[in-house]
Amino acid sequence: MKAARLYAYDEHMQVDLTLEMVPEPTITAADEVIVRDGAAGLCRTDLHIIEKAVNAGIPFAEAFAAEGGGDLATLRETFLRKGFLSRQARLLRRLKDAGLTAADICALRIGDLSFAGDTCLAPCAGRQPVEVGPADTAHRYLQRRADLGLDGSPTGPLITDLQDQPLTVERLEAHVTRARTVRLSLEANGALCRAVLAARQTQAHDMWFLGPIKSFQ
Amino acid sequence: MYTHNGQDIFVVDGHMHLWDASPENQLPPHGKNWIDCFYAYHSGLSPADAKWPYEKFCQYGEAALIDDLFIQGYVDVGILNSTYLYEFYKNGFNSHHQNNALKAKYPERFLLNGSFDPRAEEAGLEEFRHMVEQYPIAGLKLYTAEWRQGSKGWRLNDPWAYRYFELCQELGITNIHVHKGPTVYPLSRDAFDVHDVDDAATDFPALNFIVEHVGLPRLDDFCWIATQEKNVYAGLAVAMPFIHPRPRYFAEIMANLLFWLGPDKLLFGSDYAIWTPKWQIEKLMAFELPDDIRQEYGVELTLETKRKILGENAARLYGIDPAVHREKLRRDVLGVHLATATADPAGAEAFPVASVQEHA
Repeated sequence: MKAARLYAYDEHMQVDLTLEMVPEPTITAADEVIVRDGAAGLCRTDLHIIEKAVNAGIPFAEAFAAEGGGDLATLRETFLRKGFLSRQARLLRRLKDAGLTAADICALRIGDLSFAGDTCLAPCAGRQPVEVGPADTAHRYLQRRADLGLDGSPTGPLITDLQDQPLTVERLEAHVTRARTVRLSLEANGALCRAVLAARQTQAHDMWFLGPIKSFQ
Repeated sequence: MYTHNGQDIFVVDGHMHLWDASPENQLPPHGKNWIDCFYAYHSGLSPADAKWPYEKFCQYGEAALIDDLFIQGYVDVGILNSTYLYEFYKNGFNSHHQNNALKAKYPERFLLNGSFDPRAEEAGLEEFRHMVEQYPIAGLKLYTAEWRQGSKGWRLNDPWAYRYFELCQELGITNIHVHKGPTVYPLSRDAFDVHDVDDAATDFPALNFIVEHVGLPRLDDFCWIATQEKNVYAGLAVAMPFIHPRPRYFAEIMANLLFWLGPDKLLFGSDYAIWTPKWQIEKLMAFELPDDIRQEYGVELTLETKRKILGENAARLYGIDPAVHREKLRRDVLGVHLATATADPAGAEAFPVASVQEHA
């Protein structure tokens, strides 16, 4: 009978696979069985992986043509942009709650932020810096600026739009309103995903939407 | 009818169903998967005393519907949003044929919405004409993620969909409800993406697009579109029940909708029988936006706005005069029953309903 025999392979999927004639197998010990295959399936995706599509940087849509609905790069970019607005909305809320006016906020430079332990501080109308919430809120916002290639230098304006244009006092309100709606959607989306995941893992109907999502309460 | 401080509030339930998901009607495997997912929505958001046993949820029948909507649930008029799902249910989930039995029995209590599927192309256009000739179709409910012969969905701006919208205009069908946002297993999430509403609404300014579920959870995508298109409305089904377990999230949704769309474009819908209308309406009437949200968004959820949401906006879209219609409702079988029950609550008997199958 014919047999395909794999003698060796390495991490680059270099294989030593040969097709050869071998004798029909026989059972020679008590712990052996002979299995007859009726059919075998082959997943194209596995082949693509074997062909190193991912490691070679071939786009998702090309590597997974049968399964991809589009290019992941576009989706990632959308996530980053929405994430930027959402994180900015959170920071703006903190600045406003700390008593900064629209003029104060528009005048802020990245280097104006200072950190004391877990707390972020910002100058308020030239007076002593005031606490503007957890340092994490500011760091997460600055990280998204970096991810999008926006100006991160200390002298750069802290609050800009997605085109890195500084916001004027007149434009700030409309910008904040929009960023806030994006934040709400992202939080709700994340909450739904976590709840659905929990429901799938437990198979319990009551888990839907009821994950511990504190930001909604 | 909901009465608030002696004031009558006209209630249109803009999104409700009489479905049959009984095991006998299910096609494997997704007939069961579908209703299981619905039941998860139901049990996840309903208050404890409004949760149903699973078996009832699969098939509750006409008597329960009449009681939940009109006797207990304050609803004056319900809009039957037909949902077909012929690949999941042998006779469909709730088709306009089935729903018409209810409409025929209580003509003043229901508006019957049909549907079209552009993937039926030319042959479907003829069927659509027949549906409008043979049934009292008031509007449409479109379901862009419905499966059909291997296809997992269609878009409102597909060329064939435009042929159907042109026919809608010709036939005078102007109110188009479209499910957008939340998906139901096993349907494709992307096929419920709200973005195609943008094109369709621009190209058919004479049609009204009521976006059911406001694109949740991606409310921002919906808001950008609805703000630009003056013929796009917000159907609150699925947004409403968050008022119970997630009141803060509900408040933020409402604040956004009031800010971006204003009070004249929001329509109440219970999504019965996923949720019953009684508790949703009671909680909405008692609801106030938290102070910080009111200030942040600069909007108010006033009694006048609640009246618009609960019925006046839908009545305007469907050409119903609430005062005139209320008089008709007083005189129909349910109106008479309600009047008797109110006059003598102790002596009132349950409204006798023969099953809809006997009348179909």
